[in-house]
Amino acid sequence: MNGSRSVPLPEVSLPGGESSTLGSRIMARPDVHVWCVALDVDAAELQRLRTTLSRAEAARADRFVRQRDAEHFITARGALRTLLGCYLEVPPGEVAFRYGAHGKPVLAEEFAQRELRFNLSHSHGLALLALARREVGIDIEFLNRKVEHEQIATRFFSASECAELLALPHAQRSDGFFRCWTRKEAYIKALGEGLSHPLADFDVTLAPGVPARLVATRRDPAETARWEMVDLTPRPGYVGALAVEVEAVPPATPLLLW
Amino acid sequence: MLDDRVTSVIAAVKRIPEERITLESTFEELGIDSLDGVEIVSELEEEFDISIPNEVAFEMRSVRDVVASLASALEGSAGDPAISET
Repeated sequence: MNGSRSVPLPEVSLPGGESSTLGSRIMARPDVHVWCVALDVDAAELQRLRTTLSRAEAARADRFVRQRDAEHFITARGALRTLLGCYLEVPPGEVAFRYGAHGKPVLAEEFAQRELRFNLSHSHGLALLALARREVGIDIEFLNRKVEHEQIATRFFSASECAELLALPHAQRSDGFFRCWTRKEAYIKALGEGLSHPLADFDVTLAPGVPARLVATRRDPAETARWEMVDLTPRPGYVGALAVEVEAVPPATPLLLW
Repeated sequence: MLDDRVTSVIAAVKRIPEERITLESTFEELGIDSLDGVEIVSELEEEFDISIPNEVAFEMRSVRDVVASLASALEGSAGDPAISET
């Protein structure tokens, strides 16, 4: 299993090639691909993407209270199926998922041998999809979103993150909050634990100009070396973060255990 | 009524008319993501002066779950006559 971990991801071309409106790749590392998808599409494209959904997904789409949320769900799911289908070389409708204990979707057992991991996030009409051969988590937020960021930070962030955020000039706190939030979300999404993983148990960077990094993990200190974080700016006005498992480095010399 | 307070906090955070929200509504149907979720928890904790444990807060998936978590947190602080209902 470990042998194939260094295999780069395949270069895929979308149906429609360069003129495809589905999305564009915003990160070109051979081992991690990130696609950006605009979720406001025309009625014909929405209808086309809807036909790729499973019956259960179509039923989920029908239950949204707001029409726009339903449309964004359909577009994000349809784009996810289309892109995964390109990597797996199957039609979008044949991509199948299973769900982890905390709801993280992963590829169904029948695709396990392909060793393809993915994670999806969307906010305010824009989605990011990360693909890798190692565990991966991604998050995106719209920077103009109005939230009570100081109240939330005080309640949920770690003490050092909170202190760092409150030390920023007032005008920079909102962006600092979203950098911190997306990095924390990306990490716990990579773990597959959802927010059941205590948010205050680990620290990430948040100050302007400081690269994304997992600074401390109190539950298991070795975790900081296991994850790499990457800043993403998919479009002005949005902030994104990616957490990807660092490739296991084999020891230089065989270990003699006895 | 707790149901009404929860509905009104969710309606305010999500800018959805209250009449569209029922006890059975799930977070997904209402478009509540994780950031909305923590905002709703913070609002309720402040309004009722209670603390909802993280492991409960982050397992909530529906309006009914929120009402139940709130009721249980209020029971935990039932010694306070200002918020005791009985």
